[in-house]
Amino acid sequence: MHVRKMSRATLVERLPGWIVQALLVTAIAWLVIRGVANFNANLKALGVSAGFGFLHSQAGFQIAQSLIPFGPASSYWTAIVVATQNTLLVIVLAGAVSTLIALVVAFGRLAPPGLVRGASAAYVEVFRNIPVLLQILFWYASAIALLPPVSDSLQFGGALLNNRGLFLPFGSAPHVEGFDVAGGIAILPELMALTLGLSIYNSAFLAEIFRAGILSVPRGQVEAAATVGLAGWRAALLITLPQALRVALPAAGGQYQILAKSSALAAAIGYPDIMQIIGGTIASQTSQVLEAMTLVVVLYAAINLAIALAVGLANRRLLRREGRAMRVRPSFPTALK
Amino acid sequence: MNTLFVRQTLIEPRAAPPVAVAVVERWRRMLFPTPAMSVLSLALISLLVVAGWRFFAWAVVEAHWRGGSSAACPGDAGACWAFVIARWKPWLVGNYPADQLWRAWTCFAAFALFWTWVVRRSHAASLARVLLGFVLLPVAFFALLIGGGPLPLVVPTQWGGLLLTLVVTLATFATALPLGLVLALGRRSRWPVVRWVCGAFVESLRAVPLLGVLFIAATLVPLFLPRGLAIGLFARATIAFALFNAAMAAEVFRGGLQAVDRGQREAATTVGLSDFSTLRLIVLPQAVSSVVPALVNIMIAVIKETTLLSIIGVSDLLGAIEIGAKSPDWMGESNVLTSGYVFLALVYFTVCYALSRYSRRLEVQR
Repeated sequence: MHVRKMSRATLVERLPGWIVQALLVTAIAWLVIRGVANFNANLKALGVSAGFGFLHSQAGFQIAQSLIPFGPASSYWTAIVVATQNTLLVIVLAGAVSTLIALVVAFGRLAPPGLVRGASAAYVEVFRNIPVLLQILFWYASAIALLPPVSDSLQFGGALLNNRGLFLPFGSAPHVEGFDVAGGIAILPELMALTLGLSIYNSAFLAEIFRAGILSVPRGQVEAAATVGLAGWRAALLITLPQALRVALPAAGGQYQILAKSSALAAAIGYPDIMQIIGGTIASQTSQVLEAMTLVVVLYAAINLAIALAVGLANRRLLRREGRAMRVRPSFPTALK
Repeated sequence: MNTLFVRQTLIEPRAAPPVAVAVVERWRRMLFPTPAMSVLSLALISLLVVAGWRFFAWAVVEAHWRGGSSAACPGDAGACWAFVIARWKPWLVGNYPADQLWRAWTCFAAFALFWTWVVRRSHAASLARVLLGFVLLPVAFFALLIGGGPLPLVVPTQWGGLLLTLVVTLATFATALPLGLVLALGRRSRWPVVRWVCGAFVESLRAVPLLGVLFIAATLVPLFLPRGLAIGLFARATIAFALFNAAMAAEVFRGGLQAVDRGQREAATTVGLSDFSTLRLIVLPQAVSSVVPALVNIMIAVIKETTLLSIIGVSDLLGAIEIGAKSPDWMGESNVLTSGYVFLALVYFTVCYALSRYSRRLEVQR
């Protein structure tokens, strides 16, 4: 009797939960079933068949920048690989450049009051409050408008700079051939504009993250460094920075994820990345919109996950190193004796 | 004859003694404290002077202010403000019909009044009213701008420019905040299915670029809708915006909910409050008020993100400028587009910087 009463009370308490969850599952299932039915009907009307079979057929378009050989005869699969490599290239470039700028600006913001500090603060406020898309478009328009045409290329050593891009002497020396440049490695104006825009915008956020990290390092550390003869930039580099990075790493990792995601803005200026090639060209050329968008989502999610894992791994290693240092510390007095 | 002297009143506080440092010396200390800093300062000063002068020459001295076509701005020596001035209407309201413009002006004025009230109200005034205003205002704007009934119908494809940016920002804010709160609560639910669904929704949207979500809304979603049911691009884009930012807001609210001490909840249970009353009276007021600065930051992010609408073909402020630079009257001179971009940068910077100062003020007040 007692047991039965308890179970009824439990039942009454749990029933609303079960009903809500059942309703939720039903609603989602209904949406999915209706969506799939609509999707099949729409595809039939458009005369498109679903599936990833198209990946092995010939792409038939050209990609302006590819790290592996690519031509109109290559398959869609190769195009996807090229696009992914281009996205990764711009993420790595922009990540490195923005980190360097951010470190300089972060130390600049902590300089004694004066011009350096003011300029650093102004840099952060200006560039984080202007939409990144606008910055990319601005650099792109400036690159096209301000750089000279191929015939009047600027020369730096063996490198050529014109409105077709930056041509580095790698393998063979670049030289003007008619209306184009032959030889060397080409860095497209799209890549330059995208890297510049992403780097500057994200460096403003990273600088604030690094500044918070630097501020978290106890004053005594710098003073102790000065006592043993380390001062100025050496103390900053050897004492402050490693400790600051440990604090800043998780937040910086989040910012790198944001940078990776906003690299998709390449589509606005036509840099051939995942969004532009898969979500734009391939989707419209094959009408396989669902497959193309699934690839886009999966690729970006994978890049995001990879960054999260890398940051997590680096963070664990840093924490472990700190742990070891803690264990070593008690033996110091005996060593001094 | 011993007299004790005891002070009856406090001594008036005195100002700190003036620091006797000459102006020149103070500037020297600020700019050239050490040799290394001196080099840096000199480099910065020369950079600022050169860049500042070149910008000034471009933006003011050589600028072209009057004219109705790109013929007014030959060459690329000076800015083409004539473009910005001549096309003030498209970038403010897009293609909104000229005889119905009072509706757009009413929206701008109402928002200006509302925002003035939000910023100037005393901190103690109710937060709930502000949030209610943020939900009601976009609904009212939508009704007024679309029309129907006595007012002639104006479809959203005719909206544009700053008006569209404002409406999308407000609509996103109004839908993303409640939805984000629901998602955040759902992730803490005691029912596992609700927890999984909310968690999966938030995490999957956070892993994808906003542009990807907008592309999906523009190209893929129509395939999943029944034939005959056509939802306009503007509506799909706005919904995509709302869902994406709801996921962002959910993370903010989750932080706020976690910050509410466990004891608060337990105390509420002790005095006999039901689950719902605990949430409404104890948990939410504390959670929401602690994340208000973060919500303003989301608003800044939304304003900056609206520029992405121009990529999928909805003419927001950025789209209006780009369409203008491509129009027959203004084609041909590269300076036209650059001037438009610089002008936009100024607009976005002013709005976002002001909002970020406001957010910081809220954080300090707390």
